[in-house]
Amino acid sequence: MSVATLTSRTFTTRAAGAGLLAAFVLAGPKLFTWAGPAAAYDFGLTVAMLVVAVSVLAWIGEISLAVVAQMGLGMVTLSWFQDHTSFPLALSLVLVTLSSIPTSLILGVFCLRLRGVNFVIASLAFAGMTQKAFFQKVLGAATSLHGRVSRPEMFRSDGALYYLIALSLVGVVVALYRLQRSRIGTALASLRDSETAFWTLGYSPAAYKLFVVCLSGAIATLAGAYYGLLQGTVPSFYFNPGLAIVYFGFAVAGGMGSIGGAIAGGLFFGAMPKYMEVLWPSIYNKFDFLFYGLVALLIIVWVPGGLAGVGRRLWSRVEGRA
Amino acid sequence: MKLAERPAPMNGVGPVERRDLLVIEELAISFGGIRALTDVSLTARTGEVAAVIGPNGAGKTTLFNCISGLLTPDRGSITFDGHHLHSMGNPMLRARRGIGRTYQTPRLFRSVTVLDNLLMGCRAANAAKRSYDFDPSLRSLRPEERAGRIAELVGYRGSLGAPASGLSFGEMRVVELARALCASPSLLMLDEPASGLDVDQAQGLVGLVRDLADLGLAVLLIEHDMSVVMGVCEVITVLDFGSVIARGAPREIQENQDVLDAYLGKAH
Repeated sequence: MSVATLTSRTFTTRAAGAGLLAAFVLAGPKLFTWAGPAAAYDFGLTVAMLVVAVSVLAWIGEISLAVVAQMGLGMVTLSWFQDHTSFPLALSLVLVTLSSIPTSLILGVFCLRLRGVNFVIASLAFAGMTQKAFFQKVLGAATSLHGRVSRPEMFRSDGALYYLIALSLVGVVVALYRLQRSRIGTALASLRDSETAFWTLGYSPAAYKLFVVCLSGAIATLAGAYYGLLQGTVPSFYFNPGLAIVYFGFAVAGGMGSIGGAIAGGLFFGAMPKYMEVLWPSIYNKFDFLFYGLVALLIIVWVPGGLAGVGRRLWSRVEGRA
Repeated sequence: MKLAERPAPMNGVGPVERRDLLVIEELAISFGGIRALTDVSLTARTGEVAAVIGPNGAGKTTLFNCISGLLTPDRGSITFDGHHLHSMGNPMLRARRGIGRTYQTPRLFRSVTVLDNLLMGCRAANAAKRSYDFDPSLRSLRPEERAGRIAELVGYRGSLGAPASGLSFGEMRVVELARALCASPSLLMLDEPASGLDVDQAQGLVGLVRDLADLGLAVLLIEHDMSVVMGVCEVITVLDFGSVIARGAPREIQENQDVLDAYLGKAH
C-alpha cells in the first residue's frame, strides 16, 4: 500500500507506531534499569534473534531443533576468528554468518529427504551429535578457558553491545520483511500451501527449502556470535538440544512464522527470566522453567496466533479497521 | 461467473497442425501388490482433446501423476515432444518442458492472492523461456497484464487481488486452470475440471477446452461428466482396474459393450 492510498488516521497511527518503536529500540535496556542489568536485555535480544531463526523455518512448514547447535557453532567460530586472525569485529561477524552455510546444507539434505516430525527428529539428532562430538571437545564439559570470546574496546559495556545487537536485529528484520514481500516470499508461501502444485508448475521445492534452511542457520549462527560476545565463555552444556525445544516454545508463543511475533516472544521470554532473577531471586530460581513454561503454555492455548495475533488485533483496532 | 461469456481467445492462429505430442507405451506401475496401471498406451496430439475415463480407482489420476513426474512407472515409456521423459525425472523439468496440469481437488496457493497464483504461472513460463504458442499476443504483455488476460479467457470474473482462500469451489477450478495456462503449457492435463461446476459453467468449460485445442494445445482430460467428455473430445481411452479396455471416438465408446458394462451403463 503506498502512502498516497493510506487514510490520514492510518498514516498517523503508523507514523506514531514507528516513532514509538524507534524510541523503544533507542532507549533499550535503559527503560528497565530498575529491574535488572543491561545484559538481561542484551540476552533477550540474542534469544529473539534465535527465535526468529526458528520461526523462519515455518515459512516452509518445517521445525528444526538444530538451531541451538548452530548458535553454538557461531560462538565457536567467532572465538576461532579472534584467536587466529586480527579481523575487525564486523568482518568476523560477516564471515561467521557465512560459515553457517556448510552445516546448513547438511541439515538441508535432511530437510529434502524428511518431513514434519521425521525432520524434527533428524535435526534433534544433528544437534545431539554436534553437542557430544564437537562442543564437549572444544568448550569442555564445564566453564573453561576454551571457546572464549572477547569484546572489542568499543563494546566493553553491555549498553554499547546492546546497540550493536539491536542494529543487527533491525537489519535482519528489515531483510526478512522485504524478502516476505518479494517474489521469493510469494514462492515460499506457495510452496508451503502446495508443494505438489509448486513442483508441477515448474519450480524447485528443493532450492527454496535449502535457501530457507541456510537463512535460518545464518541467523542462528549470528545469534550465537552475539551470545559469545555477551557471555565471554559458554560451557558446552548450554548448547544442549533440549534448549531448542524451549526456544521452539517461544516461537509458538510469539506466533510461528511471524517475524514480529518471534521478536516479541524471544525478547519477552529471553529477558524476563533475567530480570526476575534480580527482582525475586528466592522464588524464581526454584521455579524458572516451570514459570515461563506455564506462561508460554497459557499463550499457546488461549491466544490463537500467539503474541503476533494479539499485536495484529490491537493494531487493527488502533487503525480503526476492526 | 459464466465461462461461456469469456472473450474469444483467437488471435489469428490458423489451422493447427496435428502431431503426436505425448506418446505413452505399455506403462505399468504397482503399489505393493496392487497393479495400478498395466500396459497402458495412449497418445495426445496437438489440437486435439483426448479423454481418459473410467470408474473410480481405474488408475486415471495415477496415469496423470506418471506423466507429470510425481510417480515413477515400473516400466513402459513416456515420450513428450520427441524426448523420453526418463531423462526428465522430476516434475519441475517436465513442467518447464511444457506439461501443465490441474488437480481433482484444486491445489491453489491459498495464502496468496489470485493474481499471485497467476503470476507464479507466468514467472514459471518466463524461467522456462516458454513462448505462449497458443496465443502469441500474450508474449508482448507484462506478466500482470498477461495474468489478467488469461483470467478473463477462462471466465474468472472476480477480483485479481482477492485472497485465493476466499474463492468458491468453481472459482478455484477456473483460477487453477488459468494458473496452468499462465505457465504456457503445450500439453494441458485437466483432472475432473467440471466437477463442482454448475451446468452453465460446465458448458463454458467445454467451449474453452475446445478453443484451447483449436489454438494448438494438446488437452488430456479426466472427467466423469459424460456431457463434457462427449461434447469436447475426439478420442477417448477407457481404463478399468488399470488396464485400457477401449479406445476410440466418442460414438464408438458409447456403443462399446465392455465400456457399457464396466462404466457407462445402459443409460448412456
